[in-house]
Formats: sequence, structure tokens, C-alpha cells
Amino acid sequence: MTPTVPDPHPEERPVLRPLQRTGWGFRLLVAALLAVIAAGAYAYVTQLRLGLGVTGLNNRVTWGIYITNFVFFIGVSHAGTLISAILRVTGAEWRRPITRMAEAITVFALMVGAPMVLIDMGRPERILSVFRYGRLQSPILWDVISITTYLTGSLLYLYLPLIPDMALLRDRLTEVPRWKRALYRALAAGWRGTPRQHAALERGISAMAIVIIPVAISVHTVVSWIFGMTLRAGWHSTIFGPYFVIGAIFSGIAAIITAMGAFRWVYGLGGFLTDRHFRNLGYLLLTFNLLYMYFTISEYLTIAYGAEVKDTTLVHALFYGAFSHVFWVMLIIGLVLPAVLTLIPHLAPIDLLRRVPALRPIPLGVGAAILGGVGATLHVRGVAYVNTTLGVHHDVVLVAAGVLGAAAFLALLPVLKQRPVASIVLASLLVNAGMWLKRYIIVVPSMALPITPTEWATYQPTWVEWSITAGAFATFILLYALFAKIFPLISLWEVREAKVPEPAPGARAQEVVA
Amino acid sequence: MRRLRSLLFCGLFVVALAAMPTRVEGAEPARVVLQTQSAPDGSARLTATVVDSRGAPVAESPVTFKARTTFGWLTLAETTTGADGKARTILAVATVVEEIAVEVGGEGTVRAAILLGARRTSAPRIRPGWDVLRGVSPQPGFISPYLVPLQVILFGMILGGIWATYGYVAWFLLRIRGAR
Amino acid sequence: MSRLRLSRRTFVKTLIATGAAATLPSVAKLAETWAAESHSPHARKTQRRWVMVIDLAACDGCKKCTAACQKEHFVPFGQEWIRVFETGNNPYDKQNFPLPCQHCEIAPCVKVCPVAATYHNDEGIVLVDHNKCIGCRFCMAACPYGVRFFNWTEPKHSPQEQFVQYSPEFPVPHRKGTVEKCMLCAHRVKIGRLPACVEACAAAEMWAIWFGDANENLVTNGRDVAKLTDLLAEGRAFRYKEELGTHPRVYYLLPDRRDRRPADSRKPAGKSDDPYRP
Repeated sequence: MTPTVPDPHPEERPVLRPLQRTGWGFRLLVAALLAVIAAGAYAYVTQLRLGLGVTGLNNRVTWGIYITNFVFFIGVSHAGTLISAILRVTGAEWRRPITRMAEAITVFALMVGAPMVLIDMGRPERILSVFRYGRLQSPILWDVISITTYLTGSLLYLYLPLIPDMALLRDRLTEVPRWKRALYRALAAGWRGTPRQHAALERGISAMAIVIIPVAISVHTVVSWIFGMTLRAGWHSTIFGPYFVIGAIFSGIAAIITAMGAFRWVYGLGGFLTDRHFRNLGYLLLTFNLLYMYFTISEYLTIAYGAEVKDTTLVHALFYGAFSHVFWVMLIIGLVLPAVLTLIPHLAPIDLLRRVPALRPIPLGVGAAILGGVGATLHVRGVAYVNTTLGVHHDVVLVAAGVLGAAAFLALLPVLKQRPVASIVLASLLVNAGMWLKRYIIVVPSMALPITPTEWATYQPTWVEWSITAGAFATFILLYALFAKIFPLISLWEVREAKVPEPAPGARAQEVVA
Repeated sequence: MRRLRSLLFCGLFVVALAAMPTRVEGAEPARVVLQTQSAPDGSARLTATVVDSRGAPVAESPVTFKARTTFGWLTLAETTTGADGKARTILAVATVVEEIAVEVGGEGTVRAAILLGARRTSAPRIRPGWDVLRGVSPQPGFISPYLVPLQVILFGMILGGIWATYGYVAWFLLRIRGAR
Repeated sequence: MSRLRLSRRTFVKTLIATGAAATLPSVAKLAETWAAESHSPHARKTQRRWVMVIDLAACDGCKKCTAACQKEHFVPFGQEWIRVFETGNNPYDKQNFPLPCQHCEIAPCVKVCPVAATYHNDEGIVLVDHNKCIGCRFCMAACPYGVRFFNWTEPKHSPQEQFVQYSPEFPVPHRKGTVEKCMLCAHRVKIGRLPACVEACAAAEMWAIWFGDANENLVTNGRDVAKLTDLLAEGRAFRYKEELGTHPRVYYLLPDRRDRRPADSRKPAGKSDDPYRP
């Protein structure tokens, strides 16, 4: 694979290598993903055949984890907008190596998220009625229109900065299969790097960067309005638009950090995705984390203080009742722990934790073993799963598990302080999980809430729903993995023309100190 | 409704004089005259004048106003005549009936009726758009099954702006392809 | 390499032309809709405003209305288009509460339907066109009364059902993946019959459900005919969740109608002729 001419940019080899060679790891991954997708497809065929009755949905809880997935993926799609557009418009130079990955997340998240609504429909074959009989007054129409607009825009926005790289690959990768060469040639659009072409490209990108920001904001606002425009407790809220937009950008940043961490590890892109990028994105993640906490407090304090009956019913169920487990787990892993993890380098007392004997592996392991034994015993005796009225045993086990978890986390902190990138990637993973739970907490409790003189409704997702959800995530990963095999993950030409030179891989240690 | 109201507004008009004298005695009711008069607020005043066979008003005579409806006869009011032989009641604004009748002295004694076949509201002719926005209900623009011009214009402006920008960018793509 | 030279002027011209070409058909369709609507035969028909009045004092919770409704409409298993709840704040304050679709004038479900599959007919009844419904269930999320149901699986079809010609007013046979609800027996009231639940309630000699035309200001419970405004005033009527501003067409008469106002502020009985417009 040695180029015949001296390579002027040897540092770009890790970026190009995945495009030239395909290893067993990749094939295994694709096979595994395809298996998960096939399971999801089978579940969907079952659902088509027998109807939505195969899901856990019922006449009270009519929307479940399909809609949760929809909101989650549309939220993740905000990664591209934030990184590429906002950072480009504000002239943040460090964005250059990560724009492509972010834009790809946007496109693929939209491609996976939008069909979730189709999967949720009782009559998917009538989807075209939305265009034939569509009422502009319905928030669903707003959604269809704005997501279509956003997908078109983000495809355009992904493609524009790809043109010079396509030309670069067309000229440089001569040993790849013929279809790939043809693809590069077609997508390069006759790019020769002339000043006129550069000018046109720059103007096109700037126009897109500006127009895509309001489009992205409108998309998630409109998604929130699907809930906000109804009269349900927990949904009918005036702050839902900005609440959802902030949440979307928050989970978008988490998604891009996760992708960066994965590709840096798998493809060895440490030369491009430096600690500095993780640190800056970590600060952005923290900012949006705090904003999201602010919105969350604002939302729940307002309805809890006003104390309308329907609102207090909901708040009680979230804080102490049937949904309290999901709610508190969401708050802790989605907001509190990520905040601590992103702040780690600035928390000096963390090193003192090393001296606490209880936080050594052995006491922790013993504690975990005891707790596991007690929990298993109670579970066998059928005490552990009590729905709203918690038994005393259950409380004790829960509290003990919480304490143990907190201790394990504290024990982990000094280790993570040595690895800031790892802690930020861990934070982003937690945020992804937490934000999915948050969307579940938004969608399901407001539907299960009694609105007539009845009890709470129940909703338990079935294997069909879980399989389709897993299939959706697998599709997203598969699309992204295939993208990484065909297109360079780093926008090479943008990095080359960066005014501020990026620190070399060797400067990593200094970065940590700084 | 409007046509009917103007008809009523023409003044007092007597539609039916149905006299069925059953007993020819001094102060016994012999005839009853039913009159309707529309009030400015849209309600209708019903006046029944009871006279005996000599044409003199009968006082203290029990009078029943009735209305024929989809579901049968409804008693509107049961009163007695005054010294002038008149009994009155009011038909409320929204009340729409096919026929109004007045009975004196129990069932089938002396009776008069007015057929109000025309007295029906016809559906308001709604032109979707501004008419919908204006009157029919407080939230017509959101509930209408039709396109509402204001919404179409707003949507068109926003979407048109965005898609025009997309077109503008696509034009740059063509320029890149065509550039030397 | 094709050489395509485009001046800005040409580009703008093309853009405008394309835009106009794309918009014109929809504008034409819009105009057509307006024209059709203002000359539609419905516009000249008599307007009815059907209302239902449920007398909570008379209801004994026998659920014969539910049974009659299910029989009339071949209601799929698991759905109760008129559902009788038992409510009350304490064991001594039990109250039966029949809940059909409220047929709101400002219906949240009609507002949110993306394809206008749920709509008001000329007589104010909220109907569902099962040929249009895409099964998104947004209307179920929007309905504050929880009176909409979904055919999660293919409903069981009885032999009689197969002979029925489908219409939104009588949505039989039922279809998988669409939303169902109380139709206020639109197919019966248009030929002058009372809804099935009203007839059943009268047959059970309870006469708790009144039905009639608000334009006519008259309702009947199958035995008596009453003036709607009088019935509402004397029965101390309320509408369920009135504060939501949905303007339901279903009224409830209070179970306990003892008038606790001072005697001199009461109106003489039978003389409430104030022009009340429900």
C-alpha cells in the first residue's frame, strides 16, 4: 500500500486506511448488526401481520417506545447542526476534524428516526394520505414538512464539504474497487480546486450553515409541539419547544463524543481527534447539561408548586410512584454523573478518595456480593418487585444498592481523572442512555395518567417493540459503519487549510497538563 | 333565519284564526287568536286572545301554549288570560319549532295554530378561509378541515425561504461542476 | 464534463418559474375546494345541533346503554363507546358517571388529525372516516376524555356485519389499525330515531339520557319532551372538564339538585325564559 510518489500528508494515512482495507472485525460487526436488524425486521413483519396488538400499547397508553425512539433519534440528529453549523458560523477553528462525523450523525439519525413514526402507525400503507389529505393545522404535518426539509438540508450540508475530499480520493486511491472509484469520480463533481470552485464551495457552505440552524431548531420544536399542543398533564407546557431543543443539542453532543471516542479507538485517529477536541466538547456537554437541568427544574417545580390535581398526580408518580425508578435513574445517569465526569480534571479533592479504605476493590466486592445475595433472596421470595407500594425490604435493598453504586463511582473517579478522554466518553454514553430514558419519561407517564375517574394505565413493551428498537439502533450503527468505509471520517481539506495548526499527536501529554 | 326574522319584523301578523265553538254560552271561550311578534333580540312573543261567541274578551281562562317538535308536542307555558282576554309567553331566542298551537280550556276545546315550517335555521354558508377565521367558532383556523389562507401564507413564506436557499446552494453545486 | 453556465438572473427566473409551477395546482385545488364548499348541498340543509343530556340523578349504573351501544355498532371487544364509571370522593359518595364521546365543538381530536379523517359532520357529530384514518393515534393522545379506541388487531366480524355498507356514520365492519369512537348514532338520528343508548335507558325505565337538537331547544328521553334550556337550568347542568374550553355537546345534570341559594334569589319555577344559548 506504499504510494509510489512521496506522500505529502503522511498523517492522513489513518483516515484513508479504512477506505482501502476491510478487516475481519468490520465483517463480524456488520454480520452481527445485520442479525439484529433481521430480528427487528421479523418483529415488524409480525406486527404488520397481526396489528399493533402485538405491542404493549393499549387504548390508554397509545404511544410507547417507538415514539420514544423517534424523539431520541431526532434529538441525536442535532449533533451535526451544532458542531458544523454553529461552530462554523462562530468561527471555532477546532471544529474542523469533527464536522464530517457530526454531519453524518445528523443524516443517519434522521434516516432512522423518521421511519419510527411509520412503524408506529396502524395503517402504514396510507402514509401518502398525509400528502393527499394533509391538514396544515396538524402538528404531524408540521413534523413531516420540517423533517423532510431538515433531511434534505443536512444531506446537502454533508455533501458540500465532501466534494474536495472526493476529488482527493479520486486522485489518490487508485487501488480500490472500481465501483468505489466511479463513486468518488461522480461525487467529486469535477472538482479541481480552482479558485472559482473554492469560492463557490465556500459560499454554498456558508449559506447552508446559516439556513440549517433555524431548520434544526424548528424540527425539534415541532417534535415537542406534538406533545405540547395536546391538553395532557406533563405535555401541555409552554417551555416544551426550547426544552426539547436544548435536550436535542445535549444528546447530539453526547452522540458525537461517543462516535469520536469509538473511531479514535478503532481507527487510531488520535492525530486528528485530539484531547483538545474532547475537552472542548466536554465543556459544551457540561453547558447543555446545566441548561437541561435548569429546564427540568423549571418544568417540574412549576407544575408541582401550582399543584393542579392532574399535575400533582403525575409528579407524584415520577418522584415516588410507578415511574420513580426510571425518573431517578434518568436524573442520575443522564444529568448528575455526566456533570461530575466532565468536571473531573477540575476537581482536586478527587485524589483524596484513593486514601479511603472502604473504596478499595475488596470491600466493594464484598459489599456487592452481600447485596446481591440479599437481593436475590428477596427476589425469589417475590418481595423485590412491588409496584407503587414499596415494601420495607425493597427500600433497604434499593438504598443499599444506591450507596454501593455511589461508592463504586467514587472509587472509579481517581482512575478516570488520569484519563480525561475516557471520562468524557463515559459521560457521553451515560447521557445517551439518560436522554433515551428522559424521552420515555416524557412520552409514557403522561399517557398512563388517569384522565377519567380510573386508575393508572400500565404499559410493558413487548419483545416486538424491543426487537424493533434494537434493529433501529443497529441500523444506525450499520449506516455509520458503512459510511466510514466509503467516505473519509475527517474532512481532510478543511483540516489542511486550517489557519491554526492542530497540535501533533506527540503533544498529547502537554495538552493534558494544559 | 334572517329571512324569517325580517318576515316577522314586518310587524304583527295573524296567521290563523281557528275557531271551534263548542258551547254557546255567555263568558265561555269561543275563539282564540294566536299572534306572534318578533322582538329585537330575536325571540318571539306569543299572544293568545280569547273571546267568547259575542266577541268579548274572556278573563281568567286557562291557556296552554304548545310547540310541535321533532320529538312531539312540548308545552311551552300554561297561563291564564288577563282582563283583556290576552295571555302571553315568549319563545326563547334559540327555539326552533315547526308549529305553535294554543289551547283554551283543556285539550281539544278551542285551539289555534300557526305553522312555522319556514322557521328553521339554515346552515351558515362557510367559505373556508376568512369566514372560517372570523365567526363560526372561537378557534376556526385550527379546527377547519380546509386550508386557511393565513396559515398557507405563513408556511409558504417560511418554507419558501428555506427551500429557495437550498436551491441557491444547489446552484453553487452546478457552478462547481461547470467551473473551469 | 458537461459545461453548464448559469447566470444568477437565469437561476432566479428558473426558481420562480419552478415555484409557480409547483404552487399553481395547489392554488387551483384550494379555489376549487372553496367553490365546492360554498355551493355544496350541505350548505342548504337544515342545520341540527344534536346534544345529549345525562341525568346523573337518574342513572343507576346498570350499563344497559353500554350493552345496547355494543350491540348496535358491533363494537369490537375491549371497547366501550359509552362507558359507565363509578366515581366519588368517598365510599358514601358513589356516583355513576356515563361517559360517551363529548362531541366537542372545539374538538382537540379534530384539531390534530393530520388527514382530516376525524371531522364534524353537518349536525355537529364528530365522526371518523376509516377509509382515511392512518392510525397515528394522535387524536387519542389529544382527547382529554379518553373516549377514543383503537383496533389494535383485526376485530372479530359477526355474520350480520358483513351485510353492512360502510359509512363514517355507521362504521361497520370495523377495520384494523384505525381509531373508533361513539358516533352519537349518526345513522339513526338522521332518520329520526333516538341513539341506541337513549332507547336502552328508556327501555330500562330509567330515562336518564336525554337527546335532542339544541337549535330546536328541545330534548327527549324517550318518554318526555323538555325544553333544553329549562332542563339544563333546573337540572343545574355542567359539562365535563368545561374549563378545557372544548365546548362539549354532552351535558350532565347534577345528582344532587337541592337548591342551596337563598329563597329570594331563585327564579319562579317554569318561567325561565331567559334567552339561553347553549
